[in-house]
This record gives sequence, C-alpha cells and structure tokens, in this order.
Amino acid sequence: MRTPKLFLAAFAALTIGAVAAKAQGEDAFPFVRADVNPVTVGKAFAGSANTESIAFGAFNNSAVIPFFGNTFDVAASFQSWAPDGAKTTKISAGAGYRINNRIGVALAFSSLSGESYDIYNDAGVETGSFTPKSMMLAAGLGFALTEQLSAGLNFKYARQEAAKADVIDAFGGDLMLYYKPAPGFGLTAGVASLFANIKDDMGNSYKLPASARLAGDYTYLKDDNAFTADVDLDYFFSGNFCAAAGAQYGYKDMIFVRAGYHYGPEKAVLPSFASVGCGVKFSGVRIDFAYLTANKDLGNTITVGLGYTF
Amino acid sequence: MKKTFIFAAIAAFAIFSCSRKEITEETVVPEDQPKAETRAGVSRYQKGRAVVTFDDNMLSLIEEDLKDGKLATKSSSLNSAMKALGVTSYHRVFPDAGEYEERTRREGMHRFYMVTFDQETQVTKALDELEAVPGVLKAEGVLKAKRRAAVNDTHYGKQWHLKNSGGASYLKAGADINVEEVWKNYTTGNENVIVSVVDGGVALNHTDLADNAIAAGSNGSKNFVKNNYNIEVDDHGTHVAGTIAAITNNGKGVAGVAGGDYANGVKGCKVMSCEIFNDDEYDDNNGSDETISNAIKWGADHGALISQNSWGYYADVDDNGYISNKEYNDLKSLVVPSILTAAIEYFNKYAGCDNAGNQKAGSMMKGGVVIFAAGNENIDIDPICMQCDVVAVGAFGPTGKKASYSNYGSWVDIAGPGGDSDINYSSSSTIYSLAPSNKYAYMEGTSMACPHISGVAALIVSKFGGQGFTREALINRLIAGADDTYFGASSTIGPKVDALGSMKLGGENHAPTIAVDASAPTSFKSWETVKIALTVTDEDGDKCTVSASNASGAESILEEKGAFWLVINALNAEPGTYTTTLTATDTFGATGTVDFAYTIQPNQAPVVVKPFANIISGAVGQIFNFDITAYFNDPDGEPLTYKFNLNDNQIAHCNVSNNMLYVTSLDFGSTEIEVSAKDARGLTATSKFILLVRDGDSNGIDAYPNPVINNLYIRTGENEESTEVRLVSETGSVVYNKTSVFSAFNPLHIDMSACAPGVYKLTVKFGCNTYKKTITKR
Repeated sequence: MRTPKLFLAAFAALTIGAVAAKAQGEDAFPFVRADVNPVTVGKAFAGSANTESIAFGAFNNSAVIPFFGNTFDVAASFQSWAPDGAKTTKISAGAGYRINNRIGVALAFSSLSGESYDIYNDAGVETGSFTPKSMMLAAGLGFALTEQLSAGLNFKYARQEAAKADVIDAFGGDLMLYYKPAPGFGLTAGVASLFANIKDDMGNSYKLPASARLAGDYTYLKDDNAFTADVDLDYFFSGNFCAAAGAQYGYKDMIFVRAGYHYGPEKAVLPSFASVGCGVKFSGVRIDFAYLTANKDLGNTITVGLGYTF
Repeated sequence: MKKTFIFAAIAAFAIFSCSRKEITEETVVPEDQPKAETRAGVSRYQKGRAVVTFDDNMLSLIEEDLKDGKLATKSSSLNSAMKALGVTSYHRVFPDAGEYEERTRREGMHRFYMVTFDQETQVTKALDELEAVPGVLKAEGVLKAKRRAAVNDTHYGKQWHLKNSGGASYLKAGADINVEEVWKNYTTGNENVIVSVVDGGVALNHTDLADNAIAAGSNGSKNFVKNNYNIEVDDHGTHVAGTIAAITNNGKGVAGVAGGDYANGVKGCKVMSCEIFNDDEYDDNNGSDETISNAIKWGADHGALISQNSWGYYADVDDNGYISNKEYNDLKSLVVPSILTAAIEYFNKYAGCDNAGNQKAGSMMKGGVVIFAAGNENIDIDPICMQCDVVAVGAFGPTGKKASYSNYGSWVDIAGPGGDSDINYSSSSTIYSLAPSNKYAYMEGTSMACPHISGVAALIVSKFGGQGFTREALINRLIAGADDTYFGASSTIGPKVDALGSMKLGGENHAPTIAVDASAPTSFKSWETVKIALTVTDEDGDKCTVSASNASGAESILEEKGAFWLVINALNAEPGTYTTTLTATDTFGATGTVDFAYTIQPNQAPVVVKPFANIISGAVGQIFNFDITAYFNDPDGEPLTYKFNLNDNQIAHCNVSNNMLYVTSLDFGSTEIEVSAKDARGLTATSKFILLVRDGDSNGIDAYPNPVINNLYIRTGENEESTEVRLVSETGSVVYNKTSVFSAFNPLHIDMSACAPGVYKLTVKFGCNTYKKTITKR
C-alpha cells in the first residue's frame, strides 16, 4: 500500500503547485503541446500512461520507460500540422532505451517550419516576408521507484523564431509518476510542460502551457486481439481543463486501428478535435498514420511515423 | 562726334542761306518800262501772267466757255483784248471747291482768273488793256513770294526756345515760349486741331513727325506748285512743321510746341503740308500768288483751323544784302494781290465752318487764324502783315531781345523765338527742329518764330476749343495772354508769346468740382476692390489732381487717361462704415470736395460644402483629380485660394492648378491630405481625406503591422462590410472570433497585447471571399 500512497501524495503536491502557478495571459509556445507521435495522435493525444511505445517519451512521459516491454524504441515522424490553419510542417525523431528493469532514458527532437508570411509595417505597407521556425529538444529519464511505481523526468529546450531577429528560448520539462496497480492497468500523474516564463518585445511575461496531468491506461488481451483504452486529463495552469480519450484495437500485434477525441475549450491551448489512426507492425518495424479532424483550424492534420522496436 | 559737328556746320550754313539770305527770285521788271511807277511792285511781276477779276455780267458770258477750256467767249470785247495780248489760257485761280463751292462763290473767289499771255507783252501794258475791258473789275500782276526762315526728346536741351533756363552767355532764362507748365497742367495738343503749313513741302514721314502729320491726298496734304499730291520735301517747310508738331516725349529728337505726349498716348495737333515752294526757280507756280492763295484756301476747306505762313514778298530785290530806299519804297507801296487777300479772308471766315459759315459739328473753332512771319529785313514794313487780317509774328533771340533781322513795327502782333545767330555767331542761338531724311537742323528767322505762335495757337484751341470757340477768342487769348512787359514799353515786335499766360488768361481762378458716380455702390464685400468713377470739372480747364482722406485705409485714387477713379480695396480696412472726403485740386490750389460714405461688410469664413471622401488607389501612379470648388464655398462669394498639405509625400504627390487638385499615388501606404481654402482675409476652411495606396491586385486584405507588437489592424479594400474575423494560435486556440464591420478607412482593431509571442492564423471572410494570413506576435 505504500506505493499508492506515494503516487497520490506526489500527484497532490504537483497539482497544488500547478494551481499556485496559474499563468497570467495566453499560453506561449503552444507547439510544445502538439503531439508528434502518430500512435498517440491517432488517439487524440491520449496515452500518457501507455507503455506500448517510448520513442517519444522524452516529449511525453519518461516514467513509463522502466515498464516498456522491450529494450529499445526509435521512431521518426512527419506531420503536416493544421494545413487549414497554422500550416506547419514538423519533422520529429525520438528514441527510448530501457537500460534495465529500473531505469531507462529517452531523447527526442522536433523541427517546425511555418508558412511564410508577408511583413507589414505600421502603415500597412508590405516590406518583406519571413518564414517562422521552431524546434524542441528533449531528454528524459525514467526510473522505477518500486515494482509498481516509477518516476520520469524530461528536460526540454524549446526555441521559437516567429519573426525576423526575434528568437525566444525556453527551458523546462515534465515530471511524471507512473503506477501499475495490476496487469493491463496503468496510471500516470504529473506536471507537463513546466517551463520558465518567456518575455515579448514589450517585456511582458508569458508562461508556457503547463498542466497537471492525470492519465490512465487499460489493455485487454484475448487471443490475437488486443484492446487498449487511454484517458488523459489535463488541467492547464492557464485555467482550462482538457481531456483526451483514445482507444486502439490490435490484431496479432501487427495491425492497429485507433480513434480518439480530445476535449478542450475554444480558448484552451488544444481545443476539441477528433482523430483516427492506424498502423502496421512487423518484426519490430512499425508504420503508423494519424488523421486529425473535427476542428476547423486543426482539421486535416496528418501524421506519419516510422518506428522500430526490439 | 566729328561727323556730328560737320553735319551741324552744314546745317547751320543751310539755315542762314535759306532763311535769311538765300531766297531771291529775279523776276524784276526793268525800271525804265512805261507806267512802271504807276503800279507798285511792278518790278516783281511774273512775265506773261495776270490775275483778272470779272464782274457777274462778264462771268455769265464767259464762264461756261472758259470752263470748257475755250479762249473764245461770248464777250467780244474780251475776246479782242485777249487776242491782242496773245492770251494762251484762262483758268480759275480758285478752282471749283466741290463741297465748298457755294461759299467760294459767295465770297466772289470764282471771279479770279489767271490769264496767261505772250511773255513779250509788257505786264503793265497787259494789265492796262485788261482793265479797259468792260466787265473786268481788276487786273493784277502776279507776285512771287519767298520763304522766311523743339520731355525726353534727346535734343530737347537744344530747344532753348521751348525751355530757356539760362546758364550760358547767349541764353537768358525765360526767353522762351513758356510752354512746359502748359504741357504739364493744360494740354499737349489735340489731334483734331489741324495747322496747314503753307510752305515748302513737309517731310511727312519724318520719324519725329509722322504721327502728327496728315498724309498727302485729296483730303490732306497737297503740292500746290505741281497741283498734285506728291509732296516735295523741303528743309524750310519741314523745319517749320517740326516746330509746331514734332512728336513730344517720344524719347528722341526734338519736341514740338503742340506735339502731344507720346509716352502717355496723347497725340498732338496735326500739320497739313500745303506745298507752295519747290526748288525749281523757273516754275512760274513756285511761290506764286495763285499757288499760295489756293494753298491757304485748301486748308480752310480741309479742316485746318490755323494757317501757318513763314513766307513773304521780296524786299531785297537785287539781293545785294541790304534794302535800298527804292526797294523799301517799292515794298511799302506794294498792294497785296486780291486773290491772296481773298484767300486769307476766306480762311479766317470759313475754317471750321460749313458752307453757310456756321461752325461745323465737331469743329474746335469757328473761323480760322492766319499767322504770318513779319519778315527778316529789319525794316518796319511788310505788305501782307500790314494789309491783311493776319497775326504778324516778329522774332526774338535767346537773350530775350528782338532778333537783329526781325521786321518790326506796331503792326507786329506778337513775338516768337526765331533765334539770333548774331549774338554768338553760333547755331546754338538759333532754332532746332526737323530736317528732311529724319534729320535735325538749326534755322533762324521770323520763319522760325511764326510756327512757335502757330503751335501756341494750336495749344489754345486744343485746350479751349469746342462749340462756340471763335477765332477772335483764340487771337485774344494768344495776344492778350502774351507778356507785353517783357520787351519793355518801347517794344517794336509786340508782346512776347506766353503759352502759359494764354492758358491762364481770364482772371479769377475757379475751384474745381468733384462728384461721385451716382449709380456707384456704397456697400462692399470685405474682399472686393471696386472702381468708382469720379467726375472732376474745372471751369477754367485747369488740370486737377484728386485725393481721398484716409478714412479706412481702403481708399485710393486712380487716374487713367485723364479720368479719375475712387478705388475701394476693402481688404485694406476692417469691416465697418466709413466716410471719405474726396478732394479735387486744380493747378492753383483751389479745391472742391465731396464726401462719400460706404460700408465694408463683415467677412465670412469659407465653408466646406462637401467633405472629401477617402480614396483608395489600387496601384502606384494613379492620378485623381478634384474640382475643389465643389468642396468649398465662400458665403461672401469671393474667390478662394487653395492649398494642400499631406503628411507623407512619399506616398502621394499633390498640386493645385486652376482650382483643380491633382493627387498622384507614388508608393504603397496611406497619407492624410488636408485641403484648405483661404479667403482674402486669411480665414480658412479645411477638409481632410486619406489616400490609401494598396497593392490591390495581390492582397484582398491588409493585416498590419505584422509582426504585431500590441495592436493588429485589419482592413479590406472594399467599403464597409460585415466581415468574419477569426484569429487562432498555431494549435487552434481561438484568440479572436467575431463578425465585425470595417473597411479600408475604418480598420478592425484587435488588441493582441495579451497574446503570447508566436504564430497565429488569421482568417477573414466577407462576401464570397476568404483570406488567410499568418500573423506573428513578437
């Protein structure tokens, strides 16, 4: 019973800290909350407590690494983000390595290239153009506290160049706990995207979209069939509550279909949308696809990924 | 300079030779001829010619035949006498005068016939035989006459005769005709006053005379020697004419006594050349009685009011340089031919008149004045001046004394400057006037004094002439106005001519009167400048000036071509009611006044009647033009001046021309253009508009600035329209989502100051158009 108490105590502490740190103003660097893993994108970003893949664990939850069923997981993805909206192209890669039953590490990188826009001066006169760019680099460490409980810590560096000669850097990370109460179940609690504030040209301070997270995962296996359900709950320090629910059906661990729905208020860093996805896996090599819809700004987002697990 | 000196020397020689010593005509009848002593002047008669005066009975018998050129008439007695004398021709001395034949006959001038006969026949014999014919009233020999010799005009300084300021030993201040004040205050001449110059032919085309000369023609100048209209230019005639009417104040040459005021557009009196002399000494018509008489009559019949005559009969018949007793006595007993007397009387009576002898409408004078030179022999007689009704003119020199050569006597009516080279033996003491070929020359003699009198007479007529003005009034003003004290009580050449004195003659000065045009407005808009006619009348004909009291500062007086105007320039005064006193002052300081009350209305500022609308230029280089008068109005109705001001001259170029505003777009962007209309008093109205220059082809909307610091503005290129605007973060978080109404000139304002730095997506939808833009916040 010690493990559950420890997990609950840690979650309470993180949540209280989150409320106390409620941000003023809009969330900066929202791209840090946009999932690039086609597996979780297919489930509407739900799956923080899922241990099936750890390649992008440095972006999400490194606490699951010690409970990863294999040793190494590496993946790369291409994402056409919000082609009807922000129209950003993302190229990402990540890898996770479970060193032993107690500890594992992960690395991830993502590069974002936005749509070129026209520069206008105060009089409305076009004076040039610029292509905004962003990137994020993360390193994660997961270690088992007990046989059922682990902790994960991600260190993140994000960089945004939205305008010419306007580069903003941000440093932060995620702190997660993972608890496996029984086979097929998993729970995660923690704080996601807790970054230091950034400032604009006017000196105003903005927080990044940090949230307190509580996530759960359940997997049911029967013969060649596997059914997984995930729920992620995020309470953003900026004041919005978001929830994501996703499910996956796997056949012979070779073919996967996924679907999910993300709920978020209109002004939340991630508003509501739905997603579907699919994947194939053979001899450790996995190809996944996700399609995001039901949101006029984010709709038609496509994510394609290639991974290898052994 | 050397050439000038030589010319002057030659000219001087010519003057002496032609004016005082040169002219002698050897037509002397031998003294031993029978009856020579019974007819005075017989030695001067031309051979083979006589003037016969017929009575009415004889004329009724012979006139038709003679008119047809026949020698045989219905008078047998005349026919016999003519045959005996070897008569070869008859003709009327004064030919049919056309329009004026009626009065010619009434005056009996049709009775005179020139008879030409055998030159071998003694004149006296012929005259006796002719007078013996019944019906012949008189037969007279034909005599020949001789000639009697100057304001910015460059040679005016040489014309001491017009303005003698002294300063040299041969000059005496005031020894002139005292005409400058007349020019300034009274008159410089009148082109309706014509002086017939009975003399050698005048250089009518002389550049210093032409404007004041009457061209040759059937109603103008005429050659009476040749009886045609080809004037043969003569030194003497030209000099005389120049003294009268050389163009004054024309920046060159000399001034004429009545030569107008060229610089101010005032024409002078006219001279008509009636040529009676030429250079052909063998031409019987040259200087003959018949020629001269016709020339004098011609003037009366063709508009002349003054007959200028600088000629006379020979005194020094033998031309030996002095007058012998015989020559003196011969001249003294000379009877002026009837035809000349008749011509002079005709001129005096009919000049300026119709056939009935009444003053013609438009004529400046009733009757004419014949002015004669007294002669240059320094003797006390002259037949014409003594026997005829003429104004006889003696001469004085530059020292103000009788000229050494001038004839004299109580019969001399007036003295004019004729020069006197005996003073310093230099041409500088003689008279400077015109010479042929656009030249100038010195001459002296009563011939030169005479045209000064003719010129002053012309000025008098110019000033005082009009309906009712008579020759007697002219002569009175000329003689009585002259200075009868100048030469002292013992003067033998009459009083010194005094042009100013003649103008002032009449005693008490009368104050002028001044009146304002009764129909003139009395209330003026605050911007107006109004000219109001003033009528200034001076009973004495004095030249007047007009002034206005400075009631408001708006008044001034304008004089144009002798007319006065009160000018009210309302701009120079504040609105209000004022009374100005207008004063007319004559030459002698007498004044007349009239008050004129007027009101300057309050000024009203211009107003904007239609604001300028903002304009969108869809491309660089577009030109927009506006008729500014459609946008502004002035309640006072005054013309406005327009200016513009734009806050960014990189965006547009403006100019105003002929009340049109032209705006040319130069670059993308916007600028505010302020147009102002200003009235004359500086009150203004302004109207502003914005010129937005957009790249209309490539951009449906403008979202600016981008990147945004705080505020994002969104405008369309359309008029105001309901527009959906959605702004989301790159993860779809909605920042702004509203339907708003905005336009190019009323842009939508989105406050993004609370938005985090980053990339946003803007979607603007209006009508069928949807535009998406990436917006960044710094």
